[in-house]
Amino acid sequence: MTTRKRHKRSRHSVSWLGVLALEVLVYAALVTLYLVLVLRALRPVLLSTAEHHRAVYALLSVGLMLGQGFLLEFLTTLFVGLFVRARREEGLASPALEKTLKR
Amino acid sequence: MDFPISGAHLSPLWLIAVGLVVGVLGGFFGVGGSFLAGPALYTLGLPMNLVVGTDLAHIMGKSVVAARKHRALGNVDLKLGLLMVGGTIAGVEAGAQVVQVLKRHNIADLVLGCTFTVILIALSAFMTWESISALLQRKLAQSGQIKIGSTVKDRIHFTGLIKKVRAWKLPPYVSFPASGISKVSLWAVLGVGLVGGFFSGLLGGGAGYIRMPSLVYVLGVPTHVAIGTDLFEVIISAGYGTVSHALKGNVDILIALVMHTGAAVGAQIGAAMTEHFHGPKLRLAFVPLPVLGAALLLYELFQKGLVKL
Repeated sequence: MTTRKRHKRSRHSVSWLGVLALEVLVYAALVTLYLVLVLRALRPVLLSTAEHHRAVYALLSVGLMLGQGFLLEFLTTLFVGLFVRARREEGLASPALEKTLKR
Repeated sequence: MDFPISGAHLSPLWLIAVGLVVGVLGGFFGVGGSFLAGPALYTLGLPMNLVVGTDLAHIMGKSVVAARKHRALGNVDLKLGLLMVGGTIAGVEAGAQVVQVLKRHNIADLVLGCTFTVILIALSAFMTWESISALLQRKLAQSGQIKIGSTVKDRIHFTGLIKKVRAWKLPPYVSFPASGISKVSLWAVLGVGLVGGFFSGLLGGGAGYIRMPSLVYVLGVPTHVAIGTDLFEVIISAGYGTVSHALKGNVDILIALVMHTGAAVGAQIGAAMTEHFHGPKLRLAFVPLPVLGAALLLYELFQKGLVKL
């Protein structure tokens, strides 16, 4: 492999890792916030339903797990999309960032 | 940290760390990761019934994240996943019924443990042989020494079963353009779902270690699509299991949510990593997982004194 090709590949992988790191950071922040909110706001409700209303508790459990999946993924895509658009307007969007926006 | 639903006192950092590891594996290989998360929760002191239920809830949440990520990468065949659901649900129920019968005869732990160990080791051995053969063939094809018809990157060496299954004359037939399947009997699709669901009901977890290889070697689904579609199926089977266990009081959703904080991040990383691996290499990297699961099971069987040397 030539030096130029190797250099091109390493530049590409850095930008791919950068996009992944950005997505992971945004997601980590959101999922932590979600956990804190659920622990603070829903803890008494979950405790009470787990003891007295199992059917409601079962539905709440599934809803909380599914909800975070869809909601947080949507928010992550939204925030990363906004970041990529801002970089594009500044003329700084890399091919990896453009690919993220297309998804 | 206290978890009042189960009355357990567990370290949240440890739960997040376990979740992160299982999340990366789940996102990368399309498995639920119950064979790792289950023993980890059990080691922390959670009773077995709560381990199974809580693990299922966390697996479902993590699979949603990983499946959505795979869908964005074009790795989920939604039509195939939806058609398999019928077989999966029937399989989960059948597996759970077999567990009840074994429990009545007091041989559940021994029979299930031994069956699971044999299946996992056989699966690992087969996948090692197949993926190494496919990699060797790919190398020969790339150097021009042999000619192979299918896609060079996602070459499958073991195609005998795929050809037989696709030749089945058992209507109705379905096609899956997203997986490159032009015609296959619906019964074969339901059968794959049924087998995966059966092992999920029998041994717990999402049974991705069976379903993912079945999709590749029985239906001929490309490895990336098999991983994404399997994750979709894990959401269904784990969701069904979560409701069932929550009704029986076997789910501590607060523990599941804390674990999920790590798992969701791990699933993002794992799913993104699949973009940089191709068919046989991906399948070869999968091999240590069933071996690890088998080792953990054997350890438990020896610990309980069910198997002696």
